[in-house]
Amino acid sequence: MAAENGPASPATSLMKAPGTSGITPQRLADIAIEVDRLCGVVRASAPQLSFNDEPSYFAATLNNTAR
Amino acid sequence: MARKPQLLLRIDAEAALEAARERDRELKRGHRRGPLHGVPLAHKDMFYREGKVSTGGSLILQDQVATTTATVLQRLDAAGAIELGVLNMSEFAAGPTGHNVHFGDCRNAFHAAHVPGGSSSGSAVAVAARATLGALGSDTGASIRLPAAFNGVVGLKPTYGRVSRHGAMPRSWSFDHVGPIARSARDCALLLQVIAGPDPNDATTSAQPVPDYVSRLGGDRLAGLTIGVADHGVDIDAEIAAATDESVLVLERLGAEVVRVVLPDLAPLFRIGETIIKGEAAAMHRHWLQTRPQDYSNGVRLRIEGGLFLPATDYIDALRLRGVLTAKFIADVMDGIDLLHLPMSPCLPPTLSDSDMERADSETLLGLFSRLTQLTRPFNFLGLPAISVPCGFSTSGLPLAYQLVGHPFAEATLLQAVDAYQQVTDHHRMVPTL
Repeated sequence: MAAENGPASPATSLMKAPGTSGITPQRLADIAIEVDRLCGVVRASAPQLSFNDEPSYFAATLNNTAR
Repeated sequence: MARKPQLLLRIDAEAALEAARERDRELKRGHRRGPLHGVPLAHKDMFYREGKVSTGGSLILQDQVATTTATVLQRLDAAGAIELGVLNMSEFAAGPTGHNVHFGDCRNAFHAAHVPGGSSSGSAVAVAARATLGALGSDTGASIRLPAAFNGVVGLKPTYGRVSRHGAMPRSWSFDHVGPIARSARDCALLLQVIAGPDPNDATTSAQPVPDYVSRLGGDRLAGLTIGVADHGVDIDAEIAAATDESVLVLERLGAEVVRVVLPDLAPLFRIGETIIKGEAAAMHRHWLQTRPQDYSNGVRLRIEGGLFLPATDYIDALRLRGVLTAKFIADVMDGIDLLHLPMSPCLPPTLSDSDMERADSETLLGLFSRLTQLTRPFNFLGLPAISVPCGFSTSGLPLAYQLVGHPFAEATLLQAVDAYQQVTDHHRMVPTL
């Protein structure tokens, strides 16, 4: 049985996250667009990743290709 | 009303004079600490020195006394440098223009109505003004190279891992690079020689050997060097394009082989990088965004807070992509060339008033800020070394610059090329009228 007030929506949860108290609903809408844009680029590039790719591959690449 | 102009945030006059007297006494005893013995330096106010405040250009840190000394400062001290004080910068090293609502705006050394570039605004202006031989900067998206370009001096962003970040105020751990700003490649080499190398306090530093940068300089020929001139697809101001084209001819006359190189679309590198920067900045600022939001400028808060909403999986994928895309860029673009040549900025420095985030439409200005860094931030993502080189002046008297990008840990090649260029050009010798 659901709680009387129901679970918080994802948006409500986000707005209660630390650091977000001063963000207006209008600003939140702008942020949503911004986050969609950034995540969209990441997700469009993600098919280039394989299961074993990890962040430390970056430093290894620099060191292994040093001149 | 315009904010008051501000270059220095603190002058440590007595300490600097005492240090200078001590260096003199040491010389009389026949003791020379190192290659910077008695050389006056000053840096943007974000390199921690134990017992001193480092504001980071912010209100939030203005009373925070450092409990450690940055590795780069320790190395400069050991080499004999004298620190004159600390210099203005963009708040929290976030902002490519050099505005600072808290301490006053730094101004372009050659044209006071225009921005100096940020975030290492004070570092570049102090060097251009001949107030100091050199200065440290930090570069997360352009912050060494852009102010260097806008003020007619040289700025070197080393390879990620070449210089320790320990004790430098973070902007984005994955993207922060510490490096020198100076009038010439030779002075940059001198400073890099001192600060480069592994640091047990910064696990991201590399064990790659540090070459002797200074001794390799002085050659006036670039024979054997292949420079790829980038076909980058970015709309460039006509005066900048003409000056950067001319710099290619100079490099070619010095003996470099020049080839054309088609770059991949840099926009994904820029945006994936933005994802990482925003995520990391939001994590480190979250507490203060919650407890002291009023103490941030609008511009800085607006640019950080979006990171509070980024999914962790996208942030992590952005980090994973970094290695894959860096390997691909090196294989597709850098193989076959020694250096990549491209403009520093697509546009001239805007005026302070036209680019003030506290007054103008924020969406328009965020677009301008992206444009200012669209040819620089991708190389923070890739971690490759890059240097900004003065190459002339606009008809309005603003400095122009080109950028060279090298292979990982090939700072010596960058410095050699720029040193040769500066032996036959005098753009870096122009002194502003202050």
